[in-house]
Amino acid sequence: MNITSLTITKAREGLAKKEFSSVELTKELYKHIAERDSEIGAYLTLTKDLALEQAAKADTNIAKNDTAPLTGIPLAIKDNILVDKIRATASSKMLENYIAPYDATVITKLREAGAVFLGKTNMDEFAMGSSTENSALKKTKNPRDLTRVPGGSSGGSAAAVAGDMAIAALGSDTGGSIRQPAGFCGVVGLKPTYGTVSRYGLMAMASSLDQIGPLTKTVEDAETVFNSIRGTDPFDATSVTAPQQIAAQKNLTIGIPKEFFDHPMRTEVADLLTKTKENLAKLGHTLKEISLPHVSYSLEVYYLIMPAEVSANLARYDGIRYGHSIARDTETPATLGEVYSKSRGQGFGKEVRRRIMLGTYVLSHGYYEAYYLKAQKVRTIITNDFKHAFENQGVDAIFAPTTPDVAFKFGEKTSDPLSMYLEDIYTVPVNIAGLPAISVPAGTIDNLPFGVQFIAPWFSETTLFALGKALESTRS
Amino acid sequence: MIDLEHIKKLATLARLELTPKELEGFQGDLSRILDYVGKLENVDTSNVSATLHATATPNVLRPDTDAISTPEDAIERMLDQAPERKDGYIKVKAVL
Repeated sequence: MNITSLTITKAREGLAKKEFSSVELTKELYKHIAERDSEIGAYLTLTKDLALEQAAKADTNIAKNDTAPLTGIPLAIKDNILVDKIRATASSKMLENYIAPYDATVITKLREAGAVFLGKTNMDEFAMGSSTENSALKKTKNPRDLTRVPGGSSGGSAAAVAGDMAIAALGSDTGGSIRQPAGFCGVVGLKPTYGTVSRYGLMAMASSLDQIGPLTKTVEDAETVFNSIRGTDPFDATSVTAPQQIAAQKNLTIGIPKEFFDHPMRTEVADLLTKTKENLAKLGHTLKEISLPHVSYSLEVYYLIMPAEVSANLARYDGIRYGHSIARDTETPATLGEVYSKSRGQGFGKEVRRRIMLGTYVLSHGYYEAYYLKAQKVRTIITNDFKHAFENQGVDAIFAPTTPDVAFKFGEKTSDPLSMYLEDIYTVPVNIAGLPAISVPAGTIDNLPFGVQFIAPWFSETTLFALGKALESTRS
Repeated sequence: MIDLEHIKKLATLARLELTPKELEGFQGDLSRILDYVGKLENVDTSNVSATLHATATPNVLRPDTDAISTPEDAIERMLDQAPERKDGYIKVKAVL
């Protein structure tokens, strides 16, 4: 039996029944990583000593009848999430040799849950990108087609799960960076409600948009990981106390936003979306056309707010306290100004520098009102569109594609930054409004995975899990 | 098209050393992106306030006491990553 292809649920059952141990499962995964990852490139750092230590401890606890759902389950962690004493690079030359001095809150929680950490995964540099092509350290390929991107920015995590090199993984999502690679690689990806999962120990990209979330093989697995990592955290000032989730009712009303479907789509994509909608209707759910009148401004809003917050958050990488610094070269004299500008100019890749420049512009004197403040106001309007849909148009959830099409080929979108930005057209509105959303595999087009999204009201992840499982049932 | 001098000024503000070719490249990129996002002008935001927190809750406070004490070895590991140190301090180039 190929235990590397198991889900969290099945692996946990196997561990409970003593069919294999966590140490065996961990070793099998490392064996598989050794076989496949030189080709796929999902991992930047493997944490074998840590993993085997954690697995051994998990086996001891399982023998003492520990039944917790993640005990002994090996996970991959995106490299912008800090794991104490392990290298954390954000796939940037700026942090190529940076060793995390503490655990992110989600990591502390997962340690307590008995999980095993296999290693840190590749990503777009500082989470900026939709293909993982912006990684300054490594190339990651889509396990389903090695000539195509795995998506981004959590491409390494998605590829690790899709390639059976981890049972599940953690990623982060600011404009779609969990959901889009999940869609491209044929796995499940969840972006929780903003504030539900602590951002402490997640290298900040855009603080009002970032959330950590799981990439898994099934919706049930995503639910398991979500329940382990969620929670109020005093170390994250934006952390909220989520209200008690109500279990989703049986038959739901699913909103179909006309703005997401009223433009030309490739026939195969349109057909798969139609088929998916029909399957949902067959299960007893009601589909209802709704309007999100301002949702088409989402990308513009995002590409103003996000770079602004990026420019503030990346100011800390200044060559003074950690990271790449010309001051490490004690032979060559330099001024303080040169330490800043040369260290940053050298340490940051092109897309990172582009977004910092854009952010600096929109926040600068004379432009702040016309750009950043305006975007934050339109953000309120877009959020209200969603609010109106959920509260007044009687929908329990919203259905949308995850991406415009299947995974594209390497280099296809790199010549024009705007064409890459357009990949996020269905995912970005969700982060703007702070809503929870899940991407679930809907089928394949030309043998390539295609994902669809469910978007739920704030703090209603249970609705996402219900609909996600419903969709999974139509595909088995 | 944004003025090249303006781009240079932004690079200084952002403390980014860029080559002349990179400066020109960003001049083009930023101009195109700003044209694209300029569509927002068409949205009437006269009666709308800015979103400050997506899932806004009242200010979360806690008592002003030590919430955590950082382990000594962690402090040392943090300081150890600095390029230059002297007498327990992080050393920087002359400020003035």
